[in-house]
Amino acid sequence: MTMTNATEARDIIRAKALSSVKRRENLSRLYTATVALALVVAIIPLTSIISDLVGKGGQFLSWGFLTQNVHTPGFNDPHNVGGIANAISGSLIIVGLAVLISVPVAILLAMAIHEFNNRIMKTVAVIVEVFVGLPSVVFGVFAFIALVVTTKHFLAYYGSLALCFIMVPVSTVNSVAALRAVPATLNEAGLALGSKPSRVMFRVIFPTALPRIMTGIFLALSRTVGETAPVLFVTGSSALVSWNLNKGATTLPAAIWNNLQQGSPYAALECWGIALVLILFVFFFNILGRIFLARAEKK
Amino acid sequence: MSDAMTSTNPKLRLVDTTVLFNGRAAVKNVSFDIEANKVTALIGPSGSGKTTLLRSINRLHELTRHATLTGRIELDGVNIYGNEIPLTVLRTRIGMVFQRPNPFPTMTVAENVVSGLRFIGIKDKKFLDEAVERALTQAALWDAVKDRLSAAAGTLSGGEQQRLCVARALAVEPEVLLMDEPTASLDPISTKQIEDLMVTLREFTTVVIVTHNMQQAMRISDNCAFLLMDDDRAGQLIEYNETDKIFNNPKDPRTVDYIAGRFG
Amino acid sequence: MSTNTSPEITTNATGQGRKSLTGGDGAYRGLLSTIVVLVLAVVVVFVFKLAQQAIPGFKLAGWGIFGGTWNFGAGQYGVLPLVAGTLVTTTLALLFALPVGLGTALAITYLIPQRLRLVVTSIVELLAVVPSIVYGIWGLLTIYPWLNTTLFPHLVSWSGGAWPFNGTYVGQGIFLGAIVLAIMVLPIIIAVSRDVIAAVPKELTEGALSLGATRSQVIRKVVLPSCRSGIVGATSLAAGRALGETIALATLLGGITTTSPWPDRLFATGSTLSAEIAIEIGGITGPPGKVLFSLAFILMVIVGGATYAGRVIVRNAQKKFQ
Repeated sequence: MTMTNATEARDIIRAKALSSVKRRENLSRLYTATVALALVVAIIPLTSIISDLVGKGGQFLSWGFLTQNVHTPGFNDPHNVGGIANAISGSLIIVGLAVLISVPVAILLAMAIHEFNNRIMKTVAVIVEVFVGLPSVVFGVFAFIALVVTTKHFLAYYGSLALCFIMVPVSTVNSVAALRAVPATLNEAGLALGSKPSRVMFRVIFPTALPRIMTGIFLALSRTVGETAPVLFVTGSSALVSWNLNKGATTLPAAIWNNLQQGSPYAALECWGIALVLILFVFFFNILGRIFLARAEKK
Repeated sequence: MSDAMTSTNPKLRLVDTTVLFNGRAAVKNVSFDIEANKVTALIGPSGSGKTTLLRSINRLHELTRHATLTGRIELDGVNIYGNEIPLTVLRTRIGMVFQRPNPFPTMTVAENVVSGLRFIGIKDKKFLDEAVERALTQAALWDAVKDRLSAAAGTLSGGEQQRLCVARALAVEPEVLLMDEPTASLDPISTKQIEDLMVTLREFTTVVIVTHNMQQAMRISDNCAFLLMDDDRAGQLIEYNETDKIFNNPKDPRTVDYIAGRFG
Repeated sequence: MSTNTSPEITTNATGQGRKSLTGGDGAYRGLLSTIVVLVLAVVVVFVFKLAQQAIPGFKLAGWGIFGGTWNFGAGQYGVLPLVAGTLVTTTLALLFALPVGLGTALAITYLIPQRLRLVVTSIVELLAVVPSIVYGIWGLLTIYPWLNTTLFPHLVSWSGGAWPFNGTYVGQGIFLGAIVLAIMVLPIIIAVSRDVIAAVPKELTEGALSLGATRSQVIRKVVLPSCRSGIVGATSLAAGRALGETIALATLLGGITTTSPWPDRLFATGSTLSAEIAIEIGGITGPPGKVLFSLAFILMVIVGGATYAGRVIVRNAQKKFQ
């Protein structure tokens, strides 16, 4: 077998290296351009959405919009163009109740998952993760079956219960991660001093994990406020501002959905106004969550 | 300064080389010649800039942002920081072996060895197969892995992986091989194997090695460059001479101190 | 770093690892156990009720449920067009989102200077926060007209009406749905890809560079191959998200019609399992509403399984570099 010897090989390699430089560098540049293009493509949608929200929705932002109820058809007063006060109140009470229920449940469930590491809790953890991924429409259907069909009513607090199915799993996962982020040494020290596990948890671990837990809650909140499907099936609607959880209510996302069903160009445009208000709520909670996260990571 | 040995045709020549990160010098005004087909060791305590200097020879320090170099480094008389030699070509002429073995985990042993050749664009199967055998033989690994050429690189032992990395670097027939503390993460037996290997490498290439281990420098190197951090935390070349002379007859008092173990 | 790229709590718990609490902590243990029992009870009721209410729907649809005709109003309940719609929109969305997401992750890691990185990642993460309904109206009010007036006519003339650009178009349809869906899953792909790419040890990239590889060669031949299973995991997570999307698709897909009984071309309209439930919500109280319950049950089974699989894959990928 005639083998190329080292010197010949070296010559071949040098020659090839030099001759291929142009091609390889061009390919590298092409690659860089493609990657940069991907980045640009990724950013365009958001800029478009924001420009639409502000451009098309901004014109609706007024005190009247926020405090008046939905426009009643046939009402001809040009000063009463209709608002979304009913949707705002609906969102506030429905999401508010959901938070009230979900937060304690999620935190306690997270503590349980963190404290016990047996097979049951492992299964529970898997179930929680699965629920995080389920389509929200399934929760809407379930709430419909369990609540509306049985009681023949469409009530606001049904929506809250349905939203719990979204808030609890997400908050639980976040809270478990937060609890786990607390150094084990803290726990060991507490126990070594003779404290009961509950004391260690509530005096040491939980307070340490709290900022992170709060972050998770706010992020879950920002998502929940934007959920449409679970609420659509069970809360009915309300054309008036109402703070009563025992009647029908409309949330902001539901109001957008209803507007879309109407099909009129004005209703479509108004969607942007409602969406802008909704996004402000969403961003508000999201930014709050990030502030807590920044605080947590500073520690 | 140092009794700088100037050969007539050094393989590498450093002239007033200063490497700065964010404007702060990590090595300052280093000048010496590296002889062809010899093993030159860079020794000195931690932080004296040995690795920085080594990485400036294949321009790898440029990966750090805000890294600049003043002065000149010449390969066969050509400034490697000029425009004559494209960067990718330069790195086929000056290869590198790192402190911890870093074979590409998704490639087989053979694929690792020829990866450099394939980067250049060589596809000829016969050529590549020959290169595998040649490089692995030069790295003293052929017998150990010739039946495992299709195995994933990660299945090799630590010492074997490092020799694989040496083979990979040798496959592109570099004129200079830079080695950054190549045995630091290896067990004594593998270390010995690599040290024996390094001595044989002089036959086909020039070796520049950074080592913390003075005994290693004594064992394998022909020439030694001793670097030390000055008050500005910049590495300076204190003394450069044949290894024998550095260790048995050092000229600079700081070299004496280092050898005697007061630093390091 | 990022708060929720792959939320998972089933991996090796660094928690207390106790099997049970001891030592006079009965109240604590009781409290936690009660919550667990409550939650499990709710889960059981959830699964049971959905299954129970799904049965009449299955009975109503009969074997026709495996058929290829879905016409809710006319009493035909073959779910295959819905399943096809689900698969087609998800696949198309992933086809759009994967290259863009991977490219963006590479751009963020290797191209963007340190100072800009926070700005760019914030913009991308904001995409994840936008509610589906807003994506729905954006898709419907902004993208849809553009498709109808600009892109689709262009595609038809460029391809001469060949598949998949054949047939009539109305703007709404699987193409629109897939594009918006792709944008919705983009943040997931970007976030997970970034994690996996960053996990590639610096020594590997330096090793490749020291052999004379160009930047693109380092990425193509060393970085990306090492990330393979992580990227598969990202895809899986993105698929899970896409499969679960309801509201945006409900506004964008246009429903199954007589001109588009199947999603067999890019301009076709269609529906997915989740979207259909939302679209037909008006009929949920009537007799055929039971079929919607069956759809919900099917969804629960399919998406639950896919999510679980995704968790397993990502967990294994992240273990590789530990």
